[in-house]
Amino acid sequence: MAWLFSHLDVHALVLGGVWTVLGVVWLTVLTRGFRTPPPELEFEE
Amino acid sequence: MADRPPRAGVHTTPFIVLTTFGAFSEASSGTLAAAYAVATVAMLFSALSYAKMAGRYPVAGSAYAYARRAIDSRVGFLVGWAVLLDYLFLPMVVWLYGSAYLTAQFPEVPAWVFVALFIVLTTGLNVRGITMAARVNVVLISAQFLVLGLFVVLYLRRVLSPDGSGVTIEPFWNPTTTVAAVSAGAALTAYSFIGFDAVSTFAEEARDARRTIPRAIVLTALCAGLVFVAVAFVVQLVHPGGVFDDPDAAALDIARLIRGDLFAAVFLTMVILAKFTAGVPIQAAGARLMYAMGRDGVLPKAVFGRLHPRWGTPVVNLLITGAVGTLALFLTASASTSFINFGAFTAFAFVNVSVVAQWWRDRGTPARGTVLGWVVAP
Repeated sequence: MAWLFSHLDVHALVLGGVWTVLGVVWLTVLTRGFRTPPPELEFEE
Repeated sequence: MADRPPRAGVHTTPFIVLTTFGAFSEASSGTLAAAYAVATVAMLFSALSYAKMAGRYPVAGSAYAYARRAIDSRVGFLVGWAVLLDYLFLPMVVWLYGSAYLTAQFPEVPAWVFVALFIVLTTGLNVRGITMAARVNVVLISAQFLVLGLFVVLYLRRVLSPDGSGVTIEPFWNPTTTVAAVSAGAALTAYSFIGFDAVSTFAEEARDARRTIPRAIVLTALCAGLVFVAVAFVVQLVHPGGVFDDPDAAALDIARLIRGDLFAAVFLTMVILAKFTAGVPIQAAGARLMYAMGRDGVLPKAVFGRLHPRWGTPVVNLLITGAVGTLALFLTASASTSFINFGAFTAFAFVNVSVVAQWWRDRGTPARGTVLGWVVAP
């Protein structure tokens, strides 16, 4: 899996990296600096 | 309808191996069969991991749910976040492939016209909450298998005819390719497998789910992989090498080469129908995922967690994915596919990590699996 990951297009790695950083920032906001657990998503069948 | 879980599986169609042929073959320098073989092996290991987790947790939500339970709720959040990126871009990629084929056939019409038609029609249907009957879907998938089969038979006849090129190993390895090219091709072809894990979303309704669902997941990945390798092998035999006039719509030229304009027209019709009917449920699934995130407080509720009062559909979310679709005008098929694969690989990788984490969690209990199966294989 890591092997395939490393052969992705460089633009995809940049976009994915930026998206992940945004996700960490948003997670920090949601959990008030990791003091509360993140909300749980419900997938209903 | 808005409460149903997103189902990625609606997106996998047998035709995908043909519509993506040019773009993926170009990346692999004409060794598409090898690229699919590598991707199939990688997918099988991921499928085994999915199978193990589905056996442990027969719940909906797949990668997100496994990471949340086996690793940590915050890691689970980030896996869900990566999946969200996929759903933002998936409709755009589907529309991009569709309009690439239309532009190849009608070069005098500007490309934005086709992209706009796809976006407006699909978004319109979804906003009104009009869904396709399951029966229509079955008919369409069957028709795709039929045209795919025709394609392969006609190809084989050409390859095996006295003046044909005969069967060679070039689709697996040729002098112009490199290990890096095959790997890059494999990283792209993984796109064709996205959604194989959707079988796990049936976990809560299937009988004896702990036994049948894991088997179904692995079998789905295996069968898909075999079909992809076989079709890629045959098509690559007819068109050796990875150089195309228009890689994003190469299969159309090849169809014309084999059986002339009539067959090309049938093929084009199938591509358009396949892309249009795939786009509708994919966009709906993405909008529903955003709605679920809004409703549960993961995304701002005031924007994402609302439904249209009359139609009951998440209109704002549908408009967002529709707007993202305009990016199709500025991207190539292979670049946009690799955007999707970033999210998919993140999900696959974390399912593998979840298996190892679960093994660690189970220490000292009889439920614990073997080191080989639960640590080395992922």
